[in-house]
Amino acid sequence: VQVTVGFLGGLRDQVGRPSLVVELPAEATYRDLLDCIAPAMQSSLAAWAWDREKQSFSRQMMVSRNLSADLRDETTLLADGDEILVLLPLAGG
Amino acid sequence: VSPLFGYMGKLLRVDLTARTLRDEPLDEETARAFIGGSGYGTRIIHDEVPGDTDPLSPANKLVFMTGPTTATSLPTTARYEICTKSPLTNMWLDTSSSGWWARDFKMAGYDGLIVEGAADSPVYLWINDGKVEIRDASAFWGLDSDETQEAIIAELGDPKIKVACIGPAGEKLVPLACVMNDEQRAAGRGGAGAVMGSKNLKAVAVRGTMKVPVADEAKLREISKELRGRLGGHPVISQFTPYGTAFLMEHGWVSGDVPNRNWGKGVWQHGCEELNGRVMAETILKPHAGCQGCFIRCARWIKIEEGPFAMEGPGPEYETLAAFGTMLMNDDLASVCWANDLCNRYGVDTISTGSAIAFAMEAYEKGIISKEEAGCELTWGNADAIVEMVHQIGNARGLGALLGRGVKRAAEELGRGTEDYAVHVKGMEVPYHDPRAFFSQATSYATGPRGACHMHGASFVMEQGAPRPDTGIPPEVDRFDNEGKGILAMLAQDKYSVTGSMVICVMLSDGMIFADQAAVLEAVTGELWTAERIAQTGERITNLQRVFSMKCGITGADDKLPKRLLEGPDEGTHAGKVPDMAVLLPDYYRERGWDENGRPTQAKLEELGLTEIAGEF
Repeated sequence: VQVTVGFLGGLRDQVGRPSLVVELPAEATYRDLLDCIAPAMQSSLAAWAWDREKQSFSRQMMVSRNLSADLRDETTLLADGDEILVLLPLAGG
Repeated sequence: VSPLFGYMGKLLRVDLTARTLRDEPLDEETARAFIGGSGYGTRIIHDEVPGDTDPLSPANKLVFMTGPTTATSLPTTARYEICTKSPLTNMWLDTSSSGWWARDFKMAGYDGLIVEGAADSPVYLWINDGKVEIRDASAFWGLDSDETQEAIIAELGDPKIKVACIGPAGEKLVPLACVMNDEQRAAGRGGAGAVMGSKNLKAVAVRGTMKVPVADEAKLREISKELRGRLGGHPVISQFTPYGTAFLMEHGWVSGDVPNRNWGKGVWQHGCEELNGRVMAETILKPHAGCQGCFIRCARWIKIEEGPFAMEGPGPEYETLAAFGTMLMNDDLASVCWANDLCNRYGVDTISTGSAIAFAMEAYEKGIISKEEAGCELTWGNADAIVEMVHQIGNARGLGALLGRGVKRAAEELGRGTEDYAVHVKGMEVPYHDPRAFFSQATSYATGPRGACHMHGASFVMEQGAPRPDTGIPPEVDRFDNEGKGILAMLAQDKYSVTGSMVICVMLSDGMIFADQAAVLEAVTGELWTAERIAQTGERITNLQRVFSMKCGITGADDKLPKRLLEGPDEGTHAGKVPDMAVLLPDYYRERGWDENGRPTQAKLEELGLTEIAGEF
């Protein structure tokens, strides 16, 4: 299963690239994805973006799967070609 | 009672009919209860303007107000508020601008300016360190806002003079007209520029060198330093410096915050990728000073080297990029910059102007407006047509004369189902944060003191996690829940009532909690301020604005969203989501202590110290 994780806004600057392509085993879950990218996220993202205790994006981050819904449930099964978008929705202007 | 610091201690009252000038002492009791800025202005407008006043008649008043923090060492405070009865919504209006003008106005010796009556020929005011003149402005009538400022500064002969003025749209009484100052800063919403035009008042020029008394300057500097440090590293506020407010466009299409195609399309990724703050920074952004005393510096300065829209000057912020970009399906950044510049020169609100053009494009698509009526092919994404419509609106000619009256009146005149896609609340075009993506915003828009407004009620920011530890609200809420959103809308509105009364920038106050605002006011005024007093003062101001609007004829039946925003978006993370006003509104009224018709109760008004108003209301 190949999944793309896109970083928007200030996260893109922190990660240093707009997206990561991640290879996961079949029937991988969102939790599996988080475990796979955790080392990279831990070293690049600020504490407000990555929860080091839960090894997950922090609660104030918005994570979207295929632009269809907010992704919160870590048991969600991922599919080949999924696009996961991560952003901090807080904004003004 | 100890002396009150942070104020110059007087207001200037100008009767343009009689051409008289009068200094009035600041009422300290009012300042303690309403702070200053839009709060103090609320008290003046409520007490002096009858509800049935025609907004464009000499009986309406135009109140320019600074706050106790203006011209102090606190960052982001070179701001002023204008309060009046709106010609666009026919009810309460406060509208705010930044830049430099407010600092000089206050340092000229005044906390506020009350303009009443109407001159029989064009005039401008010249306020110079406590000396005031009414001067002939006939030579400047017809000039755009940039030209007006240059011409008045040249006439008075001092480049340090600051000028707030109207452009041609204000002169022509276009209800979308703003008051402009400095480098295209705008008191944009609700038509204050038309009120100024109705008084034949072209401009207010100011120069001030007096010092504002501050109770504890060392403490204020300590607070300012702490705020700079804390907010300078804030994940959102830190983005405003490199990318401006337009950084939101880069990701707002995912959350569903950004509206497209007159609110009829859920997602337009391509448009957001072409029009965002990062693209501006990488292509056309030039280094330039920000507003006076601001460390955030969200203002943009751009240079477009070639093409039909080549220009150099102030650039668009988020709302304007949405107004002339995604709302119109226009992905041409240069044309958005051009439309922004034109609006600022004519002196019309970019949010409402973009919304009016979007409405017209949809009407054109549906065959309600013809090419002959529009004077151009008013198709989605047609940059030339967008520019043509801005000219028409700014000059109040052709179809633009109708659109410049706002989408509510335009739909009433056109009929034939156009009401279904006239997106406004109480006549105020909805700014570009989609309430279907953050349901608390539906309440904030429906009940906003000046109509649909993202400034006076940015609950979507609170819903997204803005700091609120001293409000008792849990830090996380589901954006699509209908329950429990009333308190968010109320707090956001009341917080802005305080922000607009202090008067500070929302870019700063969004990162502050009530306790921060209390600490600032205590250092500036020498009064004891607490988070509780801040919350109650905000509530008092918002309630009095509501009372004024109800005297103007507004009722709870007007607290509603337009039909288009009650239809689920076709795609995106918010696809199919619709806020349930039957749940949201009663919840808000309960939190407010208002009755089921949205009317502040006598008990609530008395609790807020508005006892005499409670009796009369």
